[in-house]
Amino acid sequence: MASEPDHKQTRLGLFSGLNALETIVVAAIVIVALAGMMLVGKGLFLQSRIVAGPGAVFVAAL
Amino acid sequence: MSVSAPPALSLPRRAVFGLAIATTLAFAGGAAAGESSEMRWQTELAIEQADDALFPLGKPPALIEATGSTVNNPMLWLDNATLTEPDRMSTGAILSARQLASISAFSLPGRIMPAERHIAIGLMLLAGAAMAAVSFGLWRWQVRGLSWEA
Repeated sequence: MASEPDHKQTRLGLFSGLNALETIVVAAIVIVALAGMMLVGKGLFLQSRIVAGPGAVFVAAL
Repeated sequence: MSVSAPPALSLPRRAVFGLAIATTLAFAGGAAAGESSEMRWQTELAIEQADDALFPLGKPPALIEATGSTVNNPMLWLDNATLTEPDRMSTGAILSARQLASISAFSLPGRIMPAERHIAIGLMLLAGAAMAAVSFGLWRWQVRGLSWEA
């Protein structure tokens, strides 16, 4: 089967198409986005604690 | 300057005034006691005619509630409240000072709570990450082309 294409060569990984510099840039962008989401989550948690009180226990319903 | 007393009425005038006052009192007393249903009906008819003359399109509901009895006020049907009870009634939650300060509309301008600051900084980081991702993607598309086109 010489005409069969090489699937291992065409398969793309997460960072396989990027060189070292591009990988660093993408990693920085992902870190900044994760930090932003964590800050938003902490802000929402603080807001809920302000409304419900510091001693409130959050129980997941269902 | 002293206030002088009104001139004394003559005897026939005094009699006429006394008769008028007695008639008015008797009339009102009879209407209030409900002795004569005919008279009460005439009174109600006169009131309705006056209302029709004053309000051709109908009496305002607020005026009905203000001038009528408690039966006309739907807010007083639940409990035996007075006419001024709805004005003194709180229909919302009573917030504490901490909860009141957490509402943006009541906070002073320029006073930002820590929670709002966290949310704002997080949103700014997310916006920066989105702009950086778009810029990086466009740059790499221009330089290398799409990966599945290689």
